[in-house]
Amino acid sequence: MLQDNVFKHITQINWKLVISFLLLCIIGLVNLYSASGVRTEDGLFVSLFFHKQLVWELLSLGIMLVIIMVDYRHFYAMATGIFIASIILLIAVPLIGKTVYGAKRWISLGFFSIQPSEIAKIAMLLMGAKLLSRRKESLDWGELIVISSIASIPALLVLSQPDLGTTICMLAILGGIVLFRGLKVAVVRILLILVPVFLPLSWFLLRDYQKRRILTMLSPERDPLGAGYHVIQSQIAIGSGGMLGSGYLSGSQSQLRFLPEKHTDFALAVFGEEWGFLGLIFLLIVYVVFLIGIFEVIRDAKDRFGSYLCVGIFFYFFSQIFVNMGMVMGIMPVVGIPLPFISYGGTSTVVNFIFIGILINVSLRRFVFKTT
Amino acid sequence: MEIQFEGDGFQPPKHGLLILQILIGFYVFVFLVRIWYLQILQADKYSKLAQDNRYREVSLYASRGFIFDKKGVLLARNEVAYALAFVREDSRNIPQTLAKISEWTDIPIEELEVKYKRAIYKSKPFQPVILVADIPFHQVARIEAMSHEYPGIRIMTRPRRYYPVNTIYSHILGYVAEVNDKELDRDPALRVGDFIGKQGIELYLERTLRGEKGVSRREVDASGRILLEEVLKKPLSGKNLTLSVDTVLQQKVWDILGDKRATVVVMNPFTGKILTLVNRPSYDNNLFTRKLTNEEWVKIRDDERNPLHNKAVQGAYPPASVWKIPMVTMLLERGVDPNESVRCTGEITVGNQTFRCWHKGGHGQVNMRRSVIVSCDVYYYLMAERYGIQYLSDKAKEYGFGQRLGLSLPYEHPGIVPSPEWKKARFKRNWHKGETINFSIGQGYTLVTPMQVASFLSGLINGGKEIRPSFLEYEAPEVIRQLPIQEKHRLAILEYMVDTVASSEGTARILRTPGVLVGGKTGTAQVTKLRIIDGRRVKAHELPEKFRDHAWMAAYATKDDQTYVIVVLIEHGGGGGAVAGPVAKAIIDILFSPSYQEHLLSKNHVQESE
Repeated sequence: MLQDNVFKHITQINWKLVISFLLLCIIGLVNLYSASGVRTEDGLFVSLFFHKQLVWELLSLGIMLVIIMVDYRHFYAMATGIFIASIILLIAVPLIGKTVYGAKRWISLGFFSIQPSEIAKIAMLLMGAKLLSRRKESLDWGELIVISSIASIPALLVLSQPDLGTTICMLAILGGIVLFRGLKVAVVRILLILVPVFLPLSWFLLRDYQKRRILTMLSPERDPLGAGYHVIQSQIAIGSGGMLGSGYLSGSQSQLRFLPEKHTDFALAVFGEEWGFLGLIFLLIVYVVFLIGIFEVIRDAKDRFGSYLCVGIFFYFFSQIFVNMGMVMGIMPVVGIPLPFISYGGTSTVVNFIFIGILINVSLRRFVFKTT
Repeated sequence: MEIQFEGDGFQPPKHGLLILQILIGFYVFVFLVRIWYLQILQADKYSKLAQDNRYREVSLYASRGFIFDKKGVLLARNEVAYALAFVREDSRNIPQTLAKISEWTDIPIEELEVKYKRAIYKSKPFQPVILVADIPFHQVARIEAMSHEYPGIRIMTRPRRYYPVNTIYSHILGYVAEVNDKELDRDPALRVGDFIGKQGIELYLERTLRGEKGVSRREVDASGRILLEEVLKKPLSGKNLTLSVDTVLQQKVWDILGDKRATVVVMNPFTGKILTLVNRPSYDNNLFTRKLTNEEWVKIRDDERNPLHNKAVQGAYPPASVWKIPMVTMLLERGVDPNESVRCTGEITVGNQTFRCWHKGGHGQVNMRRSVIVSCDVYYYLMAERYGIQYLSDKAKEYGFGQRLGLSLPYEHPGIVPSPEWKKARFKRNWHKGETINFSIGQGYTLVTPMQVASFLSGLINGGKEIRPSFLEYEAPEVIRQLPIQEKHRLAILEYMVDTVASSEGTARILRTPGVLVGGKTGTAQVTKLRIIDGRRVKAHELPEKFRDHAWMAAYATKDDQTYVIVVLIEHGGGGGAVAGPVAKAIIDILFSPSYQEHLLSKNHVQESE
């Protein structure tokens, strides 16, 4: 199974992707050192999450290498099994899961805990790419309904945890691949009518706190200390950074702890305050190079399944980057979505690295098809 | 495992790639603009907000000015009170914290929520807002012990008003209580939970007494931990006040009045200083500085004896025969010969109406002097008929009746001086001749406050210069009007008042005091014309209390260099001479008693300061 030596094409790797990925990891670690830092009474600076994140990333790097070595076409065969297993785990969560911050998302396996919703992301990617790559024409009603129904099982299970952020990521993966492959003109026409009609109705399906967050995004002053607090404080932090920033480790908003959740969802605000306009623009450029790197992998992919895997991953990262940055800068509602490689998070790091591994995997194996 | 091998020259769909490119472009555009907006365009605004986050300005309470009586007796001071404040920015769970506060203090949660919402509107998130203005000490200990579980809760100490001499002074001092919404809107210096003057001197001189809050700036971190504190502005204590009232006299007058519904004003006619103003019944003003419970408030408010009412300045009554004092000067100014006498047969008829003199049989021949001494009504009926309402009404207004005195007490009643135009405007009816007759003896529409009577009488004594009655010992006397009355006319009425006391048929004989020159005029103000109950004509004392007449006595007393004007009004007391007279007499006796004279000469109390 490992008969192909994938590393003989290593020089053909997509350098844009790899370099921007490594840069993002470094920026993330450097920023996390400041963002999770606490100045103690004695003036010592202790960073609580920096080392943890470093360990997670090294561990993920190992997993990533394994992923790269397995020919991605094996995933085609494994997709259905992983998908079913993830659904079973998701169903198990409400029964045997443990509650953290008012939501049941974890299953304890004794020595460590797993988050089935993270596995569900991977399952959704593999299953989506598999189902959609079986045919090449634009989607018609029949296929769209079948695929939507299958995908809605894990999506609804995750939504009920409740975990809106992960649900959005999963839908972005699937929806992205569907968009990429294309829909029949007739389907597009009907959808263009139906979506504007049903989108407002979905408002009533949202939970109260989710509605509040959307309203807060529209006008944070509605509730400056409740739901609006995060949004206001993160904008203050970023805005007060100005052109050059307040300097590394010396953001007053961050270090005096006005910023909530600054090492996770709002880590970007710390970066924005300390590195200023120039820093954020640099980060923006790195992300753009990263996305272009993924784009090139998609463009150069030689088979449908591999291409769709990468499309799903593109939308996975794109939606997270866009929603998180938008939320931190006050143009998107507050949803618990981390910023890839910048926010602290163990399992999300593992998933991100796995996805990078799949990208590299597809990227390197394009030469397998060279003969035809 | 067999691997699916496609290799069929797969080409990614063009439109799909285009979508990805558009998304990347869109992403760059949106965030370039947003980052530029936040960090370049709005950088100044956010820098300022960031500073506000770090620095919290905290109010430092100013001590409210103390109030003393003229001898230095402390009437109002400040105690330490504990207040429960809340910094909403620091709270993790606001509804839960509010519920807990409600549980600790037994204050309904709805009330706290209303207060909290009001507070949000007026103060910044990091400013402590006072939710419970006054908590007893035993609760303080309990809350202090639990408060670490509910970040945001602060126990603050702050001054609370206390009146060592309370009930007898309530109508003068008034009280302070928590600000309400209207007051908050009016005055930007106020914050939720502040105490301000609501009545009396406390209200009227609020600005003087309040002082100015100080400001201290604290650098804090997000959990509210204070890193640095610096006082930017020291609080400025309010000014102390010394009133002209004398607690010894005030207390004695209070005792004399017993449980009558009455008011007494004692003032110095030459300086306008009020020595005593007592109202019965009264209320305990200390109740208001602690938070009055709703039951206590309703009980005071709905008491039909109306203890909140300051009768001397807020109450307007028919002046009855006391009105003869200004009437005499009006007639003299019009050129009436004081020696001209009229015949009182006990009644006169005007049109088809009969007007009786209070003395059934009539007084026989009555000149001006005797009309005052015996308080003959018919004399004034005839004179009023002769000169008409317009002259009398205009003159009464020139004397200041129907207008507020401009006292340093709130809600002063202006009284009423009726006239044909007034009646037309008010009731859309024409003036009747009979109403002129009523006017002449201070009945009908005419209303005066006891303070107006005291002030007018003082003006007569003080060479026609009427001085604004004042409660403030060190306020310079202010002449509010020169009464348009000639010297000899002023002296005439003052002389007639002395005769009213001295003469054997005088109605104010009761005031006779050896060694003291006393002038007086009684009055019996009719509250109702009702004299017949169950078909039987009843005597005054048989009437239900609320229909009984008001008893007046307006007097002055002089000995050596001391002169006092004393006005007594007893609501539903009955006849002026019989009921108000003894009260006035008792006050005169006290004023000139050796012990009181000694008190006046005694050294002042040392004024304690904070």
